[in-house]
Amino acid sequence: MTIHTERHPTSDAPARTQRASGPGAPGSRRPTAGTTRPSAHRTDGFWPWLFVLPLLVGVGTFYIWPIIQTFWYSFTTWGVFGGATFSGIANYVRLVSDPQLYQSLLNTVIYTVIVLLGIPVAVWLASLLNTPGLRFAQFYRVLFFLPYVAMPAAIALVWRIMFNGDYGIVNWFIGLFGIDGPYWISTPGFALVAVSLVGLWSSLGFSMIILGAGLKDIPPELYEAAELDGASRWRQFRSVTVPLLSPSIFFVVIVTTISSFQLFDLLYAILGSTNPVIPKTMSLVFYFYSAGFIDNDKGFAAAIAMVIFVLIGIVTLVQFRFQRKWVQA
Amino acid sequence: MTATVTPTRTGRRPGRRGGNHWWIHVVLGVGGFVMAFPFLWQIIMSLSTNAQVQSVTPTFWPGELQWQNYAQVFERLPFLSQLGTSVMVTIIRTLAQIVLCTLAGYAFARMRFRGRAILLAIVLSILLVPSQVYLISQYQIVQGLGWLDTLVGIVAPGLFSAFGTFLMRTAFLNLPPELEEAARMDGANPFQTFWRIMLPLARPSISVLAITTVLWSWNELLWPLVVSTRAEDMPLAAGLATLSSDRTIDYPVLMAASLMAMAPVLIMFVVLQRRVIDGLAASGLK
Repeated sequence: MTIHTERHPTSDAPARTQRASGPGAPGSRRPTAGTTRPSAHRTDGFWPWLFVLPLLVGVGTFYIWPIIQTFWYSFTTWGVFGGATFSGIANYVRLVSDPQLYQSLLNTVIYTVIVLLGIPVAVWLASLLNTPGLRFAQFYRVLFFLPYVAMPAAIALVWRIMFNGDYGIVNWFIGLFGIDGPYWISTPGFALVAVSLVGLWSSLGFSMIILGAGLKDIPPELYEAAELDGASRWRQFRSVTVPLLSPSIFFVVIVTTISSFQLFDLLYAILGSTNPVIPKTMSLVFYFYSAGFIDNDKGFAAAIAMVIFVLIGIVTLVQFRFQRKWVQA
Repeated sequence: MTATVTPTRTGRRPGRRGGNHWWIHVVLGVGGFVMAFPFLWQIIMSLSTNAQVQSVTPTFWPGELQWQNYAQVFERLPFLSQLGTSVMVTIIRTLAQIVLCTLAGYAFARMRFRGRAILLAIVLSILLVPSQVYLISQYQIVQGLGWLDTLVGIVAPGLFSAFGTFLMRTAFLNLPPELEEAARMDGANPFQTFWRIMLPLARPSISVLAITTVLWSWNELLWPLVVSTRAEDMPLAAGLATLSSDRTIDYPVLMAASLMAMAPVLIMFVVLQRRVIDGLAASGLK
C-alpha cells in the first residue's frame, strides 16, 4: 500500500501544472501549461465537488477519522463493557515491558529476512526468464506468478498438510536425502520457518515480474559489448545485469519488507488460531489482532498499531537513506 | 544449418540470442514445478481418501477418484453462502471503486477547486499508513452502525480507495488535454466531458483498478474475520482460515473446498494472464 506515494511524489502545488508524476509519464506532448488557460485562480465551480465528495466522505469516515481515533485510543484504557478512559502513556509503558512485543518483532524480522533471501533467487530466475527469444516464457511466467494470486487462506491449508510431521510430503521429500524432518507446524522455531518458506514461495513471482520489467530496460548493446569482450554469462550477470538492475532490486526489497511486516494471513491460516506454538511464533500484526479482537484490549492494540506504523515508517526511511549509497541508476 | 559446421564454442553462443539453452529450461522448469506443485498436490489430495492423505508414503495417484469430496463440501460447510458473500463483496467493491475513484481521480487531475492540493495530500497520506492503524476504529464505526455480521459491514471500508484514486488521477494526468477543450467548446458540461471523452480513454487504467480490487477483495482475510463471527456470514477466505483449527472436517474435503475457493481468481488470472501480471506490476501492490 505504501509504495506509491514514495515512488511518485505528488507535489501538486501549482493548480494547473500539467506535469504528470511518476516514471513513464509522456509529458512531451503537452502544450506549455498556462498559455491557453485563464487565470489559475479560477475554479470550476461546484462540479469538482460533485466528483470528489462521495470519495472524500467515505475516506474521511473510514480512513482519516479512524487514523486519528486510533492515535487517541492508544492513550486510553478500555473497560470490560466498552468505553475508553484516558490513561496517558500507560499502554506504551505496558507495551515496552511486554516480552511478547519483542518476541513478535523478532518473529516478524526473521520472517522478513527469510522472504528477502528469495530476492537473489528472483533476480537470477528473472534474468533467465528474460533471455531474448526464450520459448515458453509466458508459460513459466504464469507458473511463477500463480502463488501470488492464490488466496493465502486457501493455499495455507494445503501447505499445512504438506508440512505435517508424520505424513507431509515435505518430510517425505527430505527423507529421500536421509534427513528426518521435524514436526514443522507444532515446533515453535520450525513453524516460523515453514510459514516463511511459504511467504517466500508466494512472493517470488511478484519480485520476478518487477525485476523482469527492469531487465527489459537494460540496453542489449551492453550484453553484446560484454560478449565481444569475452565475458562469460556469469560475468555478464554480475557486471551488467545486477548493477543496472539495482533500482528495481531496491524497489522489490522495499515492497517485500513492507508487505512482510504485515504478515498475518499465512501465519493465521497455516498454524491455526488455537495452535500452542502461536505465542512463540506470532507476528506483530497477529499480536495486534489478538490484543484487539481476541483479548478485546483495544487501547493496547491501538498502541501496537502505532508501533507497527512507526516501524514501517523507519524501515522506509532507512531504506531510502541507504538507496543513495548503493543504487547506481 | 550453420550451427552444425561452426565450432562448438560459437555454436553455443547464439543460444543466448536464441534463448534456448537447455539448462535454462531445466532451471525454469524445475522452479516452475516447485511453484505449481502445491496446486497439483491440492488437486490430488482433493480426490483422495482421508486415509491416503494421511499415509506416511505419499499417494501420488489415488486410484479411484473420490469426487464425492466435492459434494461433501456443500454438505459439511456453508460453502455456498460463503461463496455468495465473496462474490457480492467483490462485485460491489469493484464497481464502487471504479465509480468513486475515477470521479475523484478525474477531479484531482483536471479540475480546479479550492483546497485541491491539500485534499489530495490527505487522501494519499493513507497510503503510508498500515491497515492496522485504522482497523480498530473501523470496527467501532461498523459496530456502531449495527453492521457487524452483515454484508454491508464487510463491504463498507473497501468501497473507498486512496490507491485507486491515485491510480486514476495518474491515468487522467497522462491524457492530452486538447480533447477536453474541444468538448467544452461544443458546450458539454464537465460531467459529459468526463463521461464521453475522458472515461473511455482511461479504460486501461480502469482495468488495472478492477483487477487489483478483485484480487484484493477476494483474498482479503483480516477485516472480514474481524467483522463477521458466524461462519455463514463470512466470505470464503475467512471461512477457510477459521476451519484451519477444525479437526472434524476430512482433509480431502478441505482441499476440495480450498481449491474451489481459489478457482475463480486463478481462472481469471490464467485467462487474462498478461493483463493481470502487467497490472499488478504497474500497481506494485497486492
